[in-house]
Amino acid sequence: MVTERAELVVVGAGPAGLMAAIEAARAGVDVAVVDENRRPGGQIFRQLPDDFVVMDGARLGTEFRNGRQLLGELAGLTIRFLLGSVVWGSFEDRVLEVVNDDRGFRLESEVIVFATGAHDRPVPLPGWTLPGVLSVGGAQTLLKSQRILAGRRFLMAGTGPLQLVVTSQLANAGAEIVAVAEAVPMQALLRHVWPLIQGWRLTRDGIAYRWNLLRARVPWIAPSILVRVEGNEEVERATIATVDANWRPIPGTERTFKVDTVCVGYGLVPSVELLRLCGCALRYDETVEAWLPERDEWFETRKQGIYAVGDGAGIAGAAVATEEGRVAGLAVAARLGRISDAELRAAVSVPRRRLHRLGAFRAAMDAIYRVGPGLHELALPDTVVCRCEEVQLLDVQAAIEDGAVTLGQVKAWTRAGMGSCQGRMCSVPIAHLIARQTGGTVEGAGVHSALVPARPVAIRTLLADSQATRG
Amino acid sequence: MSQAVRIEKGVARGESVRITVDGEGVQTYRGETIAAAMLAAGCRVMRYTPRGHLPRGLFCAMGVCFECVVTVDGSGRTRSCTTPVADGMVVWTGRHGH
Repeated sequence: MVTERAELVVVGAGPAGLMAAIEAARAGVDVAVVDENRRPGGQIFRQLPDDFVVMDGARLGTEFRNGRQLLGELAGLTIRFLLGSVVWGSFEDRVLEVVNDDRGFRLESEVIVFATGAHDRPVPLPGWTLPGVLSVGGAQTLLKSQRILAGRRFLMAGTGPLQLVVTSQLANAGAEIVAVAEAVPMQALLRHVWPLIQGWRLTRDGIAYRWNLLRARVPWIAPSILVRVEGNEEVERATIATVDANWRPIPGTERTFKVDTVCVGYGLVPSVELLRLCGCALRYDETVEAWLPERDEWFETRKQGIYAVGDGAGIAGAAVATEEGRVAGLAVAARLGRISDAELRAAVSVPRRRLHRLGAFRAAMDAIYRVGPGLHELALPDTVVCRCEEVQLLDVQAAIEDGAVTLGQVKAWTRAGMGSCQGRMCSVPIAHLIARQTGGTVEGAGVHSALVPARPVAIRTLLADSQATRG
Repeated sequence: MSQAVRIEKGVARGESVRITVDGEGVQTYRGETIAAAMLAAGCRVMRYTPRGHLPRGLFCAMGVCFECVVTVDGSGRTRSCTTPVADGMVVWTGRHGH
């Protein structure tokens, strides 16, 4: 098998990964950046395909401009981009197994920075598998990277800043939004006024988005959540209900909308599979309901030479991701002897100050938009929990009834988590089911064991490589 | 059947490309993903599940969930959300048992 080498390998070309790569490369480190997408920018700074020509950048919004600016910083730097490349495994320390289309190769390095980003929190509820139900991030990706509206009549159901941003973007692009079901009432914001002032630039953006929706007369229904979606072959109706403080629907408050598209966005979950595969220690965070890597002040994990930055290490948004990437990139440069400790300390003082300020804002966001337990109770017995293997709630409940107390046991007994997505869609909901049914904790349900391949790889690709090596 | 909408303002798409989806010709543009081309043509069902034969479509749109996999030029399990179209591409959803 072909082996490629770089001093620093960055996995993920979003804001965190790009900034780490830029800072390290500026200091003279030999950097390679791997990303599954064919263009750098990650999800937040998703760029249009090369074949598209932008006539009017203003229409594409601030994220597009910020993304262009960040990508502009790459000019003059020598960074190898391995795009359209998927990391599917790691069998030795700091050696990654990668496939690019049909070509497999190994990537050796001194240091790895993982900036793997996040995906929308999966929420099993009746009808969530119908075509026309999209994650809110998915609807945004279609809009940003393809300039396509996923449907005609939208219901938005979720919570927090991402839902607000995407609704505003969809409305600006001409989508008909019949309603926004936000789980958290506006009053919740009033309890955190000081951090909202500290993070004024982000707060101001939020107010602008909200004002935009008011002007567009988009109905904003809060506190409410999506309880079911119905339709034959695809989405035809969606029902929301007013919720109490625990996000539990209040009987008699249901409202049904005729829509063709439902965007679901109850927060994001960091993609930590590769960190786990590399043996980095994780801890469960109760507030954000997610497994996060343990990191030191330089964002190095407990595994030497492996760093984790950005939303893949804890949901905090692009501004934090950029600064974390900067700190990690500089730390790597110092580690490899390209800058002195004094230079490192001087260079990180501004990013650290920004991170400190953004941290207070972030903590307030986490507290305000903390998921309520009612969100995990929406599935009915015949609701699909594991999308890949078509495992229903009642199958999982039966396994727990029979004594399964970990995600691994539920997987072995029901196949839930055995499919192509490697449990990314079902592990969170099943961990909550186990906790609720056994009276235990979500943390106690554990995690699916980290297995290769982390993403499906064609056997022919691996065979071709082994034959090439032998030949 | 609900059709996705291509936003025309502010952007010019790549050259015109034709693919077939379940035997029907679909007009698309270089740079679009298979999923985008299918949605714009009103084809929201990207696969049927092997056990329950239930329709599934685009969900995460970023290559994580594998709900939108289609058969492309005879090769199964291709993520339509991350795979760009190519002229003459033959896509099957499994609607007719393919």
